[in-house]
Amino acid sequence: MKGAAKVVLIIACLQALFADCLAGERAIVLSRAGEYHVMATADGPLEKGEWALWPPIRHDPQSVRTGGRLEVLHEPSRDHILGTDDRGRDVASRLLHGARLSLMLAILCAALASALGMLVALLSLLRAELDLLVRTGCDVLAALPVLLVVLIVRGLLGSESLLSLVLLISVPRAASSARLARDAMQEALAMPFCEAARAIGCSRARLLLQHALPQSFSQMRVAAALTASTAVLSEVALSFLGLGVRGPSWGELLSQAHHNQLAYWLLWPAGVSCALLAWSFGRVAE
Amino acid sequence: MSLLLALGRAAGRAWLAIFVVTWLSWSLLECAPGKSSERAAVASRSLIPGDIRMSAALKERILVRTRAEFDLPARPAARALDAMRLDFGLSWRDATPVSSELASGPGLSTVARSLAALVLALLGGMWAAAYSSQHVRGRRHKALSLLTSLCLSVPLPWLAMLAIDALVYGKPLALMPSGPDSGVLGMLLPVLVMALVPAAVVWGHASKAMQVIAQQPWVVASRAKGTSEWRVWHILIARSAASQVLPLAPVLLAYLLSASLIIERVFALEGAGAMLARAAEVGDVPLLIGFAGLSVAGISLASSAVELFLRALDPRRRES
Repeated sequence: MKGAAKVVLIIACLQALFADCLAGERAIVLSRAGEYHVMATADGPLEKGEWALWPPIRHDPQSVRTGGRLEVLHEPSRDHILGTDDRGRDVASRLLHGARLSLMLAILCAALASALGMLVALLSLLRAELDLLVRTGCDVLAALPVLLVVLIVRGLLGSESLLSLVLLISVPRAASSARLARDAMQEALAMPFCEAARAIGCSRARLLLQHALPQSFSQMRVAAALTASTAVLSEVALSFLGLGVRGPSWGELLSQAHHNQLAYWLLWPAGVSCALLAWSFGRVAE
Repeated sequence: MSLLLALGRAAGRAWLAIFVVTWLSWSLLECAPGKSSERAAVASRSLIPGDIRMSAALKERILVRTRAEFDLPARPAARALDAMRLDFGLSWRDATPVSSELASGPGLSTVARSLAALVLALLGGMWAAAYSSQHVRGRRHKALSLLTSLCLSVPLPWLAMLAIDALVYGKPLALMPSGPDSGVLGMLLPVLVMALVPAAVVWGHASKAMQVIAQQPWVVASRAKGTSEWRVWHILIARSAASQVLPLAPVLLAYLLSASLIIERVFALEGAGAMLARAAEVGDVPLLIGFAGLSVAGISLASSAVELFLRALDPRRRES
């Protein structure tokens, strides 16, 4: 199962990295007039001696017309392997490009929450007077549901940027990570190697940074994977409510399925992709 | 006497939570870019953002009227003190009092749905844990373990739509009516869908606790005295495991309140979740703050109630 989760994560990463090469209207490589162009738009038909390597899905995620025709809510066909949405855009292309947003959010949130969590844990152990305050704050913040926090704070600030979303998802998760890191570091401080370091005159800061902090890395990896899973699910929920980041996203596809009589070609691919990604992060954490 | 003291402490904590959340939120709003009066005017549809046809004088008149109507710019401390009397001000969208809007029928139905889902999740999770812990190495335990990990990974909107697709519209399985006109039976499916993820969390915690408790000498002794397996697992072990699972209830309630946002959208139900989503779309700040304050107070009260219940359930906590 863990192997399968890793494979899913690798595929999702590749899909996000090479989304433009997998789905789009631009040629991956275009040979024209003896010159090679990478990710180029071919204006007009190709002439003799010219060639182009096209993406497997030749539809842009934003393009609403196929060969000049508007095809709205079409079921899967040869032209559109996963059909079209209610504005005529290709679902497969939006699905591939939607992975980019989910994965970027997951990675950014996991990195930020882990960094913040470790910093808070270090501060709490470095200054005994801060410890109770930090612990109480972390307990309160970690109990707050991410979706509610994001919705209320974004409503208050009126901000719709990706950065604000990353910050708002990361902060409650950072509180949870801080608790884990603090416990792991405190456990390490009671171990003989830390006692020995203290006996030879190691300062508190150095003891924490050099000896206790590395002991919390395994816990932090677990917390980071769980944060990534939470970020994927939160992004889908927010986009479903119409409060996510602009651009192709899996939540938007689910929202379209909801508005269009649960059309299976909108409902299943986005749902399965999101569930698989969240499940993989969860399995890796386990 | 101690019960009265505990109740007083719980109420004090809830009031403090309302004060802190309201004060922080209004302070955050005043720090946010853009004047609050302009945002209020946009939310009440008196002003269209970026409207070049509107003269500066007319815009100023609208802003003056908005400031007077909604008492802006807000003084966070005064607003927080008002909030402690459950007065969250007027909604920017339609100028109705936020407290009455939140305490209206739809708001109460969200609370009822969330509480019903919480009870269902706690009972279902505990029952499933008792059932699967009896066969730790068996297929049932593995199947439940896989099911719970799937429940925790599936996006809630998708889960809710699949439930509608299969159980409401699905030809072989059109079992349940759903929607606002279906009465109590129509509430069953939303509550079931909401309860799935919390039940998976409860199952995870309870099954671990039960496996440890099952090895305790007092459990072995009660088995030796002839107590039936059903009673051992569903009464003795479950009661002991409840003391480790019940502290999760406030966190699960918070999750359920946020899940109601999605469930109400998918099932087209009226409720506090739908109200909150609309408020976030138009930027109705008093309603957002009122919801945040009341939900934090509710979670704080739930946590105090759990504490009191656990003290009644477990003599060790009472003595300590």
